[in-house]
Amino acid sequence: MTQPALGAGAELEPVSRVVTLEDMVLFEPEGEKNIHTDDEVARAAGLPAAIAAGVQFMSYIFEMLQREYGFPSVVGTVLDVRIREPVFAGDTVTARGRVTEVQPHGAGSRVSLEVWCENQRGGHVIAGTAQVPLAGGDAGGVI
Amino acid sequence: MAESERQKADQAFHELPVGTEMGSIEYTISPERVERHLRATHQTPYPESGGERLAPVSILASDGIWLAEARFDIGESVHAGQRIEILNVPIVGSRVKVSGRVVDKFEKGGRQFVVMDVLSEDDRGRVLARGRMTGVARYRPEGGAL
Repeated sequence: MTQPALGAGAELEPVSRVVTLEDMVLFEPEGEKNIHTDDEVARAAGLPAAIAAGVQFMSYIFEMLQREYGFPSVVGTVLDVRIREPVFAGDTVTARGRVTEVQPHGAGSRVSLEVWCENQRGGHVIAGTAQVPLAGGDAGGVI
Repeated sequence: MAESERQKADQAFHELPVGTEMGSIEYTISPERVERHLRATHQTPYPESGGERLAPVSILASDGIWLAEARFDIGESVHAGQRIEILNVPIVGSRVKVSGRVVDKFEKGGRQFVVMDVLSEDDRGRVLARGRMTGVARYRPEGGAL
């Protein structure tokens, strides 16, 4: 594992996925027919086609943070995002992050970041901030 | 939406008191639910901890939406923003209770937005996540499955 991004301005290793209609259907409860799973329902709501749920992409950001800072950093992570642009089946969505600040926090430190997911056109699908705690040697079990 | 329905929804929105408790919903972090979420998001499973199988924390990000669906019509699904703080990792097989309350409401661009605080706890008494969700929601005063 490479060293995690800890300096202001450092960029995280991105996480990229091609979003499929199957992903969108699986993200919803089984059997759900709504604007996230069905083109006809979406068109009736004035959309050109089914759109992915915005929270689906929060998972990409969580994964990116976990890969960068390790599993123990998951507990205490704060994610605060705005949902900006719709995502359609076939779009490529890439989660990205950039460190803005690292501050002492208890026995460890706390990394603040700008985080966002962008589509293949460079549009920001969701964007916001994250804070990730890094243990200072007292990392216990996750449960 | 028919004009009469819109007027009814508008009235319900304006009469919705900030501070309204949303009640609660419950669900089980079943292996099937976790598997479905992992496939949808292309994540790899977390390592086990203390002999327990864990679910990805991103599974909690939808909790506010499930809670809102119980009391609001969110068919338009304009989900504007969300803050979530992870306090514990969900354990596969555990039961999760999601509760919340309305903390603000506003109109913007002809749409009615509701802001909710959301709390997710498991049946071991652990707070899993807390956060705040903002979205377009048409209040149904008759409620749903609360």
